[in-house]
Amino acid sequence: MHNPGSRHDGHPASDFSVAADEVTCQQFVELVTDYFEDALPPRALSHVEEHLVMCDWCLTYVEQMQATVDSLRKLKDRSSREPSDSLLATLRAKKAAGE
Amino acid sequence: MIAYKFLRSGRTGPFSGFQWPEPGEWVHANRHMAACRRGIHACRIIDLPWWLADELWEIELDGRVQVDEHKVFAPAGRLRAQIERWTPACAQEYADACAWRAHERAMQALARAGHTSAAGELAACKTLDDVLLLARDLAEATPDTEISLTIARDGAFRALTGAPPTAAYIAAHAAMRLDGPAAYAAERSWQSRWLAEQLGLSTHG
Repeated sequence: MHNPGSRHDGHPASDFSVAADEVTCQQFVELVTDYFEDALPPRALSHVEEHLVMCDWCLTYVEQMQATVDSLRKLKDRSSREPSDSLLATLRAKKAAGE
Repeated sequence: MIAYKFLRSGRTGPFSGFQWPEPGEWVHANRHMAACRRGIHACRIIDLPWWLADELWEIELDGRVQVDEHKVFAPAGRLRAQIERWTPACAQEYADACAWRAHERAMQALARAGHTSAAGELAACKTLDDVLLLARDLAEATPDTEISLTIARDGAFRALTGAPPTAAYIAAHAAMRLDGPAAYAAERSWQSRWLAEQLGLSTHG
C-alpha cells in the first residue's frame, strides 16, 4: 500500500522496479549468448522472449547479433573450402619450375 | 482447446521463424521441431498482452494441453482463422488506451502526494502529445512524483511512436509503481479484457 509519509510516489523503486518474471535489458544482454546457443532453460527462454516482444532495442540487438553470426558462419564456410583446381595447378606448376 | 496465437506477418513464428501452413493443416511439434522446443505454444485471453505481434490467429490445440507462465502449449495445433479485427489501427488504439492508463496513474500519484493543482493540470491533457510535454515539466516541478510522471511520459512516447507492447508494459509498471505487484497483475488483466472485448474474442481461450 501507499505510504503517505514516503518521499516517493508509491513504493521505493527498489522494492519492485521489475516484476519477478521479467528480464531487464541488462540481464538480457547477459543471456543473449545462451539464447543464440539454445541453451536457456525453458523458464528463462520464456522470459527472454517476453522481453523481446516489448523491447525493440533488444530486438534490434538480437537482429544485429544474428546478422553477425550469419556473416561469420559464411566466412567460416568459405575459408574451409578446398583450394580451386586452377590454384592447385598454378602451385604445382610453380613447384615443378622450382620457384 | 481453442486458444490464440500471435504471429508475424505471413503466418511466421515470431521467435522460431516457423512458417505456419494454411489454416486447417495440423502442425505436430515432434515433426516440426522448429515450431517450438516444447510444443505448440498459444495464448489464453489472459496471456495476450505478453505476446503481441502483427497477426492474431485462433488456434486449435490437440493432445495434452499444459499451462505455463503466460502461455499454454500442446503437442499439436492448427490455425483456424485469423482475427481480422487485430489490425495496426486496433493495435494503436490499444497502445493509446494503455498510455492513458499510465497517465491516470501519474494523476493519482500527484494527488496522493498533495499536488492537486498539478494533478488537475495533468487531467486536463487532451492528447498524448500534451501528456508528453506536461509530464516532463511536472516531473521537474514535483521531484517526489518524478518516477510516476516519467513513466506516464514514456507511455505516451511509446504509444505515439507506435509500440503497443511497450506502452502496455509501461502501463503495468505505472500501476505497480503506485500500488505494488497486485496492481501490475490487475493492469495486465485489464489489458487482456480490453483486447478480448475489442477483438470479439470468446472466453473459451
